[in-house]
Amino acid sequence: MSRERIAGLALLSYPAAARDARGEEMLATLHDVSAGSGRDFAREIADLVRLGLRARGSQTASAGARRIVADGLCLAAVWLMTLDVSTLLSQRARGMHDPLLSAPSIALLAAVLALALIGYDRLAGAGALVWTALRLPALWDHHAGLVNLAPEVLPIVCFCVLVLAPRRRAADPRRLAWLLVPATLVAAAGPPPGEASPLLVAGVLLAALLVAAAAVALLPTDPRLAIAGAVSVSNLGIAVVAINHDGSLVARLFVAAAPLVLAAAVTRTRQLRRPARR
Amino acid sequence: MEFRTPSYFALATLVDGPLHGYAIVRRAAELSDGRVRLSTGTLYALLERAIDEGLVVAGEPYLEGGRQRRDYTLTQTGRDELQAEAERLAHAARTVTRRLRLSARAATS
Repeated sequence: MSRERIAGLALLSYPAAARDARGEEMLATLHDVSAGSGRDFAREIADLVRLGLRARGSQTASAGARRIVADGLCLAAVWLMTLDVSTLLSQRARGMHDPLLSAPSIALLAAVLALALIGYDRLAGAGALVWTALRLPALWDHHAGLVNLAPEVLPIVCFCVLVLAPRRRAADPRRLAWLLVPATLVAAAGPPPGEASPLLVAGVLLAALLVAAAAVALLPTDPRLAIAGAVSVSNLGIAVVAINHDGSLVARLFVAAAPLVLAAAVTRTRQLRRPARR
Repeated sequence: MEFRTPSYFALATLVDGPLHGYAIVRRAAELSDGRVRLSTGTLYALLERAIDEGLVVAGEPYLEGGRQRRDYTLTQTGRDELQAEAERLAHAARTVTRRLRLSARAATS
């Protein structure tokens, strides 16, 4: 890979506005400063990426901790809907019968997910709350007792955030392409054990690992992805602890994921909002 | 307001007139006897901050030898701040030097 290509990729760590304003000029300076020395070039690239991520972090942090947490929870709501619709469709595909798997209920959730993807957060949040309320009697029949409804708490919180603090973005129907994610999950998890394409299952696992790695890597500069991931993990942990009565360390760590990531996100955002020294 | 050493020398390079990014890097190394080696990321981060604070203004981009350049100019505010910082450092240096001399004399007498 040429030096120009490597430097161009390193520059991507900066926010788009900074790249547009000074990207070409920065690359010219970088090539002059590091001309003839591979070591200097490596040092320049490492520094460029570090400061680019810091600039990106400062830009994200300028929105304020409250907005970033709200954005993360809105994204978590979308992820939880995606996981729910994928799970329910997979169970139907395996021939399971249950009032919770009724076609109208799944269709309502899929429609709500589509609204959230396009950018109608308020409408999607309200629809998701209605969907949850309609399911509660059937859930109660399955697992009587308030503790067993604990896995519904985090989704309800996220759906409320969608209604009360929606993300600020224009509606864009092209985002419906993200529906390929639940479709792929159903294709991987829907068939009976051993009948799903191993290649597809491996692809889904690899994608999940990459998303987790990206969330961890971006936590210091843009924690929204990490918040969404941690809320999903915590919700899984709550389900395991409440319904399966599994009090293992792993299950407890899963439950702790969301509070830990939220605390880290708020602390880091406050750090980045402090004015830098000259 | 206090400056970090890289910012101090970067702004000091502009005292004699406008310079582009790479020229600032070279001049800062000369002025500091090689002690300040500004990386590209550091240079543009400190220039952006200096522009935001009104210490420096950026000119229009132009091409030089196929490379995109832009000249940076110290403003009057930037000059005043730099002057104040230079005086603060000189005062601090004088104070410490005087204390060291007095201490050395007391030790020898």
